[in-house]
Amino acid sequence: MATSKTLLIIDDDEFLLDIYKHKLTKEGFAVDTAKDAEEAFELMKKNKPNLIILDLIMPGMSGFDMLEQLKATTGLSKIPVIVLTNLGQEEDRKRCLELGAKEYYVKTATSLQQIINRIKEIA
Amino acid sequence: MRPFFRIGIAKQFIFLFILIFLIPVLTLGGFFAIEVFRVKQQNTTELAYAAKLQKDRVEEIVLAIIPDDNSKVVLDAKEALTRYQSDPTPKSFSELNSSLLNIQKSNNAYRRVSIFDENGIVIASSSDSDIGQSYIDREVFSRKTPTFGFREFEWGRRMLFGYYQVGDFNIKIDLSSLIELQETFSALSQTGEIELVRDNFDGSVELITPTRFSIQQGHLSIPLSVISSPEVRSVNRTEQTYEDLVDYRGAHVYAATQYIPSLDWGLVVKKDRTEILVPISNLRTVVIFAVPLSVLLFLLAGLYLKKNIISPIEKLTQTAIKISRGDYSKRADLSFKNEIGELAKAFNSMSDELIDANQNLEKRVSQKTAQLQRTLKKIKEEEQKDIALLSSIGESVIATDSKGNIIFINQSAEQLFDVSRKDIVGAPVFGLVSLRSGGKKVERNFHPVTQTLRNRVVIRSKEFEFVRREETLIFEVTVTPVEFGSDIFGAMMVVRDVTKEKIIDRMKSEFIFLASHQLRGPLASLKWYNEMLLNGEEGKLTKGQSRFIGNMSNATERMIKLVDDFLNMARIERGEIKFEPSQVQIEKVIQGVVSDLKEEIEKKSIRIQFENLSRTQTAYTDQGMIREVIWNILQNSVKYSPVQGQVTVHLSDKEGQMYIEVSDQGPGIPLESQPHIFSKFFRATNIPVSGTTGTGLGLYTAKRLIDRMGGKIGFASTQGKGSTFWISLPIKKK
Repeated sequence: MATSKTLLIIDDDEFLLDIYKHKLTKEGFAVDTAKDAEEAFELMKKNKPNLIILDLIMPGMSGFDMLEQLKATTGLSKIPVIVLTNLGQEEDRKRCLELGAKEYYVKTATSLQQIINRIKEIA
Repeated sequence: MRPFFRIGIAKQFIFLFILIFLIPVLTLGGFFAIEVFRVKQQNTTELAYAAKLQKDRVEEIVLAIIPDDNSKVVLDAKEALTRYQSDPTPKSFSELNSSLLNIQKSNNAYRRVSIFDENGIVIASSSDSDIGQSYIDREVFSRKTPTFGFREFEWGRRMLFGYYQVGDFNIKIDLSSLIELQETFSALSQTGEIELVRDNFDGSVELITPTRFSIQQGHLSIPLSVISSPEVRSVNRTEQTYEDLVDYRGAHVYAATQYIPSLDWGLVVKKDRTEILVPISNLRTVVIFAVPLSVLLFLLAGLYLKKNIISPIEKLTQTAIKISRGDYSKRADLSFKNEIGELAKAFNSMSDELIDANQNLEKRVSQKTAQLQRTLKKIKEEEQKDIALLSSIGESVIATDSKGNIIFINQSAEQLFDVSRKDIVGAPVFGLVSLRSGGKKVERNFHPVTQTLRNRVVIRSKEFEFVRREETLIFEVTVTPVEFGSDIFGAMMVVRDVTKEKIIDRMKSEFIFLASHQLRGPLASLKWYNEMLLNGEEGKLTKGQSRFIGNMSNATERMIKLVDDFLNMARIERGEIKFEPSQVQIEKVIQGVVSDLKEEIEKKSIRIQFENLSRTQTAYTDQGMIREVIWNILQNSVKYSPVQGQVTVHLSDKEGQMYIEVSDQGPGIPLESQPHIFSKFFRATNIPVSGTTGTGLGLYTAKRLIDRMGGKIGFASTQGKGSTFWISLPIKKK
């Protein structure tokens, strides 16, 4: 079960970052966190993650734009992305999946366990 | 009765008269002209023919009497003369004379044959008595050309031996045959005449034969300058016919000319115009007399007609016109003793009756007028009341006729559209109330007024945008047809400016939307912290800790649901949810919702009873929306059901609509709450009693969605026994 796969989590909510880090480290992942897209791209220059967890509403570049940029960047385009957001509309889900997201979860509608299971499947 | 009609009849008669008069005159004139042409044609042809004939005969006659230079007698005479001059003996003289006698005898027309010297003295002759005489005309002699007298002419030829002239040979020829020729022609006509003409080469022509009419003796000569003379024309060496020439007598003649080349003579055959035109002049007399006579007759007939028919009709007409203008005192003239007199009588009696009728009518009209004025006054009062009523309404009212043209606009509308009533009445309403929907102009065809007028439907509280001075307003428009029996008179439009309310509403929705998003983040943290704690990830929990955190988890879930409902509602209100209908399998949707609610259903041991649920039953609706509606209703039923209660889901169809009924055995809805059940944030008065939780948004959301889908929602409830909620949806696309 132990794995050294790296996850990059991008979210501006400190509490959530704390939860992700705590829980996923416990699950055996190496976890990097970023508060915005800029920071995330900076991190990825040094350490390419195996999977990205992305929020949509963030200061600066939006999650949609970041997703689009990821998919357009050589070397990063193949990294699977799970969108984890507060936006619950069908259009947002559709748009993200079209942009290449692997999975789309509304935070409040999903249990932590569900997310962990999916990450394990994908990463 | 228009005055020109009166003139008309006289004009018509004049026209008719002229027509009747013109026809015979024109016919006569035409006939006359044709006849003139025919007679002229006939005569010129005849004259030309005669001229040709005469020419031939003249040539024949003249050639027969003019001696041939080479005939034996002439040669004998020459020889005898030569002999006599070379040897002037009595014998040779006698021989010369006898040879001349021989010439004379050779032709019946020769009267005398003689030879004279250069002085005109006869030196030899067929008649002895002439010898030594000098009776030859000097002039003729000097001209040395044949000279013609009347009835006879003298022919001469110079006698030459070598270049020496020995004398003139002269033959006197009888011309009676030529004269006869002329006389035979004269017998055929009273004025007909044949003339033989010779050019004198001295500016004049000369008639060779005696003229028929001239008493003047000797040759008649005419100067060449008299070009109207047929005699002058005849020597121009052509064949011609002439219709209007003047001959030597000064008489107008028709003439034909011929040229006789062998003699260098002209020949004229002519006839007086008066003689030619005798048959025509008779006709002309008829015409000259007939025309004025007929004019006179027509004039008399016209006068008669005017006196007896036209004038009476005119008088009668004038009387009629006066009566028609209200002068009933006028009476028609009765003095005419024909049908017109009768007509006048009938007319007068009619006028009398008219006076009676008119007086009666006046009385009745004044009665009716008074009545009408009373009614009008009443109507006006009513109308003013109506207008006052409409004007004082706070909402803007515009009334149109059946074509959509404005007939009334109240004060409020004047202010709203910034127009004045007197300027806008009569204009089409589509121009004034130019509505927009979703930012696009509503075309005239889809304008609510058009729809109401066309389909006679009431358009109720429909929202439109309206741009006024670059500011977009939101109008709530209601249009009602104005009908009377089966006719549609127009439409009444009530416009409410709901811009401010809408702006507030929108701000509210946006606030809720944003707030909800901000709430979801912390709620997710709470949810997941609880989840981790409850899973014992931070160590085993005590019973009390477990219960507390469990309650925190429930509270968090409730808040999450509340936020979800807020978000949903805000989206519905902002019109963000799109209606995308298709044939939806309702059974599948219901089963999905039931499976979603499984946890709650099992917790309360509620039995779900399905009735009449067919797998294939579909409705034409939006899958997501109907799921939301059914979820809300079913969740309510489960929530308010007692433990071990039964929830029944029943499906049926009626008149193209599918009915979904959900019944529970819950506490029911109190009567006083029933009218508000679909209102926002409303919760029934008895709810705290049953201790359930809710946002008061479920049924509100369901109602809004059902409205969007074109369905209906309703309920029946008895307090203490339970409630049945039903929804209806169209089965097929319309």
